[in-house]
Amino acid sequence: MTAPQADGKLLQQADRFIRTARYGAAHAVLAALRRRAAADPAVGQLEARLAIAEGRIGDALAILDVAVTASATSAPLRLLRAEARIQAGDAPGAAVDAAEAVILNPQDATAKAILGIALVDVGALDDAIACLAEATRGAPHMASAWRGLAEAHTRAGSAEAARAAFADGIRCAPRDLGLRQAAMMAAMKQRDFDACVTLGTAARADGVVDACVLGLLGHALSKLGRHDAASEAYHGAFRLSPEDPYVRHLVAAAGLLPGEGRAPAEYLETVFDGYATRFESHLIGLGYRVPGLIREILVESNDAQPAATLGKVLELGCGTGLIGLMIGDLPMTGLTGIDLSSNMLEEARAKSIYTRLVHQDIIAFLAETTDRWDTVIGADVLCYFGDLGPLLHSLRQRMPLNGRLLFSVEEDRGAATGWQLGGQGRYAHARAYVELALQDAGFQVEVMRGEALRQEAGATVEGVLVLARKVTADA
Amino acid sequence: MPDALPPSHLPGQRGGASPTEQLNLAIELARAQGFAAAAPLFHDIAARLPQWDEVPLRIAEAHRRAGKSTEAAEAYEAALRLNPRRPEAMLGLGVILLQSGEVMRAQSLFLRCCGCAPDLPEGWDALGTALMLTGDTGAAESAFAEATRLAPGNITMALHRAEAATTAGEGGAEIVRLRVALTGDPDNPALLTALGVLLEAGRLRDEAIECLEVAAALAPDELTPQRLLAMCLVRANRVHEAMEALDRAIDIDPEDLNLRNNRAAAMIRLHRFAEAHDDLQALVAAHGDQTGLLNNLSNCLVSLGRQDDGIAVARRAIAHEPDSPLAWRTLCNALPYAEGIGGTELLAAARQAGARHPRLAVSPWPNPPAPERKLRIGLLSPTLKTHPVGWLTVAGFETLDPTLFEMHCLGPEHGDDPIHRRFKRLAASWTRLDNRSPAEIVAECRGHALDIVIDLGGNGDQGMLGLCANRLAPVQIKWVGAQNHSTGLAEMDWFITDRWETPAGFERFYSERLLPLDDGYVCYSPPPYAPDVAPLPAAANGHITFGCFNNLAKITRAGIATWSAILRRLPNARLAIMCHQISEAPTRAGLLDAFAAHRIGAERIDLLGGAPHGELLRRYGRIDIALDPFPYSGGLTTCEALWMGVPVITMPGETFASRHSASHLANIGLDDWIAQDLAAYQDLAIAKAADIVALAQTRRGLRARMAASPLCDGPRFGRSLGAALRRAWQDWCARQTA
Repeated sequence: MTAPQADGKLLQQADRFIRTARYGAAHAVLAALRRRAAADPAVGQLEARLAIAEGRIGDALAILDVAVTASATSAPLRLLRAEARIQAGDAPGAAVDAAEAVILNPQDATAKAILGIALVDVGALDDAIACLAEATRGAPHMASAWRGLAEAHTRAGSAEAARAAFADGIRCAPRDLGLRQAAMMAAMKQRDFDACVTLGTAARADGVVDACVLGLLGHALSKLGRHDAASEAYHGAFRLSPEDPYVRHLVAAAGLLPGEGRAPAEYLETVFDGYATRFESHLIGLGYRVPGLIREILVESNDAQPAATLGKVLELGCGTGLIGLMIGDLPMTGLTGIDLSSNMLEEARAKSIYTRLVHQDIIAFLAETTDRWDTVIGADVLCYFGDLGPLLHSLRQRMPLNGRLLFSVEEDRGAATGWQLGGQGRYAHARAYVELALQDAGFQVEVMRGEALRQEAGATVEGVLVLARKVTADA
Repeated sequence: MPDALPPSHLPGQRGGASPTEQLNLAIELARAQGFAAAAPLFHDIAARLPQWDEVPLRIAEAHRRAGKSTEAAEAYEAALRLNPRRPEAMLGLGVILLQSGEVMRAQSLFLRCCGCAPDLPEGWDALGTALMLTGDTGAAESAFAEATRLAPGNITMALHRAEAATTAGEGGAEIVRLRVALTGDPDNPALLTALGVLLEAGRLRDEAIECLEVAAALAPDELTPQRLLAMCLVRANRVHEAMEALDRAIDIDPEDLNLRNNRAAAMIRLHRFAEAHDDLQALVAAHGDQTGLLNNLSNCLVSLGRQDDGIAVARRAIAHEPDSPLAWRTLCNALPYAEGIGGTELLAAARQAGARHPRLAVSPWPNPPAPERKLRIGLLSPTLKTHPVGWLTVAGFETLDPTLFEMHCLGPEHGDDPIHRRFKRLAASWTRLDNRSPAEIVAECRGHALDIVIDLGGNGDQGMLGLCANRLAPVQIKWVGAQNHSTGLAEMDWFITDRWETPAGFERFYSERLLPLDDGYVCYSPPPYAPDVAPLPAAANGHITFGCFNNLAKITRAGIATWSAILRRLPNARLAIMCHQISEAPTRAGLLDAFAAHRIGAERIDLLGGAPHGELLRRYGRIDIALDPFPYSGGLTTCEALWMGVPVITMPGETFASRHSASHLANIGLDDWIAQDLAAYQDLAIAKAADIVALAQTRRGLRARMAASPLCDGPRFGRSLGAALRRAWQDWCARQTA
């Protein structure tokens, strides 16, 4: 007796639901199919596809292990399991399945592509390149094979071959967004901003509509100092992806949208995560002076009261730990650093200076914590807040009377008061505004002096260094 | 009711054809030839077997099928006299009583029926229906629960139960019950259908669609899931899928007029105008004048460039149903396209339409009349998405000062559409308004305590202007969105405009007070994927190519005559027309015939069908000069032509719709492309075509000029819009304190 066959129309319906990402409906149809013909391998295959689509890789593998055992010569099942294994990080297993699928169906370019991608992951780069090249010959429109080939060449150290693979792939699959994005990302990683701009401009000319492509184009243009064109690209990216806080902040910085009171956490995380490994060398290159100035003021301030230590110190936006390096030898009873960028914090952790490092948004952290700090330092971090009020009020609640607050801001010299979001996505403040905001939050200014903070695009970024004391007792 | 007699009711045979056979024969005869033909046979059997309750029962059924309720009721009663426990007779009589409004009598019959035949799901279902009508929704729900327990696969009963639960305020609990039931019975289309309906009522439309899709897949021959799915997809604006579902539903029930009218409407939205027109004509011929059909037919005719026919059909709808808001709305949608339409005539029609909207009693406003406070602004629109409303307003709303204005959107959602997502990003709340009664919608809108509502839909497709007749906020303003002229609505306080759309003296054409902005009345947000401006094609071609990429509805006979005159004066010039309608062969042929009548051969006309937006913009690379249609000028289309480097010749008139292009041109400093009359329009086209160097120069600088102009300056526009909204609000505040 043979097992009942599943209804073909229902199978097609389930397939359609999975392809169009309507997973709830796919579940319902599959439940009905299971009830009617649970043993039909086609049902199992669809269940596995649904599980992969939903990211339930463990479930998919469990289903596929059973299915492959039952139908060892099924190339589609092998390929599906290879796909699941790649997602599960089991590249060797994926390679075995994909190789089996290639043996079962030597003409199948998809199988070759999956095998190639798995081989990239296991580090068999020559075999991967051969396999992927064959896949691209068999199915020139398969963008994933071109992406895999470029990746294989990159890992093999051949940037030129990778560029050629991207160029050929874009020519063969011009509508594939992933290929365009990958090519631009690869150019950015190599700091070849001109190449990235060329790729982005070509994409636009080819009618590619994609926020990520425009965002990368904006980034590359910005790196080349073409700020107007970068703003336009960011504005385009915003129109296609209005929820993206990163792009939105940059568009606001260009004056095209109303600015908000602070840079969004997601923006800062994106910027600084991508920046972490070369942050310090970059700042040194810019003549970054703030850590030295901070130390200087702290020393001066302690000299006035020789017996005093810094007590418990909190550093806002500690980044890679430059301030820690600079003040780590001063007397204190602990140094806590907080930053939004996990990559930056990794760099700071490696310095072994901080007693505690916190990965969180400053405002959220201050709202949650019950700790108190005698000294709070914010070097080049308040420039990501326009309205300083909420931050300063939160800080006051976490500091003792006479607690020390030391920070830098970029100065808006043209304004009598208030703050302004600048083109680089940072805020500049008028001195009078800073003074007023401190006073309003219960601080008294002890030192406020103008300083050149660093160089940027050949110009000096002027700022203000402020030392203030908490003078109002908590209510 | 079974078609043939069940064995349990067979009486003994008494020679010749059995009474059972005779009764079956009578039933068939009644079906085929009507009751009168079968009556002698029925009466003969009844005379022979006077105690057999089956005979009056079958007579009752035959009467009921023939629509004779009184006779049917008498026969059912006769059956019950013979057999007081006959459930079919109780059910049949009860239904007739329900239909005649005797609910309590019906209810008691159904109760008896359930007592006599507790395993008959129809009895419980009928009892539930009667209980619903007496307002006892709790008991009704219990009755339906029993019906669905007995007939778990019955879709109608499952829907009754869902309706009872919703009415009793237990929709959420019923959703949970259905989900649990589905875990044990996953391929039950009745459960899925009911769940789909409840999910949509609970505003989980995407999930509802999935349920209904599965139900329809599991029960491909059942009409109800297909029909519910189709209508749900229509409401979700998933028109392609709706069309497929409508086709499947119509395959099951080809006579369903509502389905077929909805299918025609869906075809219009898919730009299949010629097909829709033929279907609608056939439906009107078969079913006579009906406002819903005539509305779609009028829209279709106008869209095909047959403006006069469309207006005539709209007037037929008014004659058919003079007080119907839909009929008047149909006319208001057709008239702005009519040749020679003036501001006064259009206002008069709009006032008629405005007066016919139903109005509910409204309570006083609690809004604090503080002139400078932060305002809650409602955006009422079906098209806050990639649509002229979106392209021309979103940048303005985005740049309003968020410390002074808080935006609340009222209307459908549009999934992943990028402009819709921009609205989602700027909105503090989003309220979907469909699938409920107007009173519920008005109450919900008022519950938002909005200070100003801006209508961005007018009388257009799915527009909700009628809601404004009930005042959704103390201040109501009309802006883009079928903003072809005054709304004529007494409750619409203001009309956003500019000095070019409504110059001094035009106030008389509007029922609203005019609220002019500092520059143009819209802010164009160019698409980020617009191709670069191509070089002037005339330089390579050696001749001028005129173009019009507007909707065919705007292309009038006078327009064709004028453009033909221009082409006759420039024998080498060509004209390219692009619109969706041209994809259909009959429309294409008709258009070429219209030009041929003016001695312009087909070889001089390029007809291009619809294209994806990026490709549409790219096609401006073939055009040297755009010719604006009249009296309904291009709005977004003109902005797009200008963005692509193509200047536009226009001729404004009295109506708002006739002056869009003039506003955009003046706003970017191209006043010299505006003609005051037909002769000037022709002369201007000839003069501009003659100066290729100047044309090339204008083209080269046009995008930058436009980008730098107020037309595309979001922040500047936002300030102007904010100031206008503030003025309108302050006016209201002043009236409260006066």
